Amino acid sequence: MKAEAFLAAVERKLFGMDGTVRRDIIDELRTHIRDESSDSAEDVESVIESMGSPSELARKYKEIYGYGFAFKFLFAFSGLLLAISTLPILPFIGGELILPLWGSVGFLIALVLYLIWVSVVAGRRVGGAVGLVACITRLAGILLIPLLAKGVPPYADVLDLAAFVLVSVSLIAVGYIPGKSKEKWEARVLEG
Amino acid sequence: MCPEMTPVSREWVSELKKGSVQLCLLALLRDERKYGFQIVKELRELSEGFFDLKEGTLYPALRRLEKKGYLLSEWVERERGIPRKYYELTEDGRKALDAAEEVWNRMKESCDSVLRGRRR
Repeated sequence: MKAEAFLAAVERKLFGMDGTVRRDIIDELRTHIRDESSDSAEDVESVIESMGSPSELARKYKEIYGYGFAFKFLFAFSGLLLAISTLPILPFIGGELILPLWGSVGFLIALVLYLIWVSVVAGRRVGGAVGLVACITRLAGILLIPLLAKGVPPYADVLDLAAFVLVSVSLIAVGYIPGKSKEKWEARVLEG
Repeated sequence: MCPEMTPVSREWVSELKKGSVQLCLLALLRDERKYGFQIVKELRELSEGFFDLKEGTLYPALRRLEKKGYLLSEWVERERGIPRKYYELTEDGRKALDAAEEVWNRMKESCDSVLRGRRR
């Protein structure tokens, strides 16, 4: 693989990271390839070989820097939209036809799967933060919507409300735990 | 290195090396700033090939030390050729290096004593 093709492959694998950091990494690797191939008798091919595979190299950098701000925002915003959709009082605003009551359960399952996915790809911190956003959105929604919109019954039943709060708070753990487990598992694999 | 090495001891060696390579990287930057390839070369030469760090490991390792606040990096233009990214030790890095070096020396002495099987 020629130098530029290798660097392009690494850059593709760094997708999602902050653009400035990404370019900085690629520039540094490019300097290294030139330095080493002009200093020693080694040809470009073997210099590139000693850097490992593009995906392995990119994984190490991603572990250090994680996703850039734009992606973190996107993760959180999608979590917020999903969390709003899980509110069981929405049918009272939009009508049962647009969003039937059981739809909120479907969205809740989707939100849980989404949080697990975010936690695995972006790590426990981002996963936990998106879980927190979802939790706050749900709690704020259930308290504020009956106050703001007319005709929406507030959550009167204490047990119902307690279950709702419990589910909302556990979303933080759902976002945090998969990433944490992945970290531990990878550490064990590395140790052999 | 020993010519006959079982797979278990190879793993063990890499485990032993892993802990000391950070110390070596900081030590190489003690007196002056250096760029990546220079660090690779010096590490290889000074350790007589013992620390033959793959570039794919070294560059991320430098970034990790920078993220910890032990190193600072800067692109430096050259009269001829493309610019290079230099790393230098920060104040925190220097403190960490001094502390780690002290631990290293004590560990070395203690290990030697145990290996010899008698008290110093």
